[in-house]
Amino acid sequence: MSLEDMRSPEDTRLSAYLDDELSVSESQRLGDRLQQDAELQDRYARLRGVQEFLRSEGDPSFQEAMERTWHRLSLRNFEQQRPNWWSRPVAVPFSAVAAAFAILVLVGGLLIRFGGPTYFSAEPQQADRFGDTVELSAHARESEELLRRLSGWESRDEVTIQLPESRTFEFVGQPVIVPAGH
Amino acid sequence: MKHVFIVFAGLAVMLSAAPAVADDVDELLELFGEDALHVSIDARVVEDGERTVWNMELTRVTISGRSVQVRLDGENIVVRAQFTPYRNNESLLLVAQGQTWLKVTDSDELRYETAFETVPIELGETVVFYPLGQENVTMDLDTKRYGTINLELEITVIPYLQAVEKE
Repeated sequence: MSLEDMRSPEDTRLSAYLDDELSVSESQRLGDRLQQDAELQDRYARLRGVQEFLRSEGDPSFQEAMERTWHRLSLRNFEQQRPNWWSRPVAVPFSAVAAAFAILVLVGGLLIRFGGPTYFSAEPQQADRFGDTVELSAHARESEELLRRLSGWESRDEVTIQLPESRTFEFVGQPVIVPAGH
Repeated sequence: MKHVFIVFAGLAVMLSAAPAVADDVDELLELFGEDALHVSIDARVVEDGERTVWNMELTRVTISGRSVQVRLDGENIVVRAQFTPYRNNESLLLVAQGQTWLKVTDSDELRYETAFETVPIELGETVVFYPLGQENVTMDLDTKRYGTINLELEITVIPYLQAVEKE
């Protein structure tokens, strides 16, 4: 069956009939014609064969298809275009990488040692439920900077203490803060 | 070439590991003397006006002007307290704010009380925050028992370095 043949309105209807896309009346009329028209039966059988073949095939492998295509092209003396220079893999000797790393660490160390002030490298630890001491784990060279950072810390680190369950409380007066012993 | 590489790598490691910054908290705090403050909070449930049936201690490090916040969650109560010490030499001004939400037992009523106090104290002196009020201890002569349970937060502020020395 040629492509020209496949483009006929008859085949479009047959394809729709196969896919159960026709209305009930159209499907019935075409079914009646199929009973009587041998040529139509032949076309229908071919279409159904194509449909069954397509359904029996899994998803196409694009990798295999690509390889097949390149293989066919190579048989015609075509060459695959080389990728751009920036996307090509580059092989660098291990010794060169090691030397570059050493220089990087050396320069970094010098910058840390003789560079500007180094400030915090750690956030304050959060206390757990209770009983924990919150300590400042910080790296600072200048106390002014440390104080500034301390002041800048958000007061988000509210500590929550869970009171014992099965205890219910009641007001016995107004909340008050007094020196101990009063 | 190999020896040169080893020397470079060793030098780099030594320099990067050099103590260029203060990495010990004590050393760090000495940088600004006694500006750091050690706030100790002892939360207690006191029964019958005198017997502590539960307590929890919490310590925080802060600086003058920076608040320490604590929240207590209970079955029918939420307490939020904020203590801000302002230091002036050996004396201290403790600004204390307290908020208490309490669901009244056997009722849908929710009560809210708040307190705001500025208490001048000495370093090391203790203050107590009573989120439910300061109970007037009364004894039932028939049962020989005092009143109900109450909540207390005992706050003590000392210089951080002093706290470190104690430890």
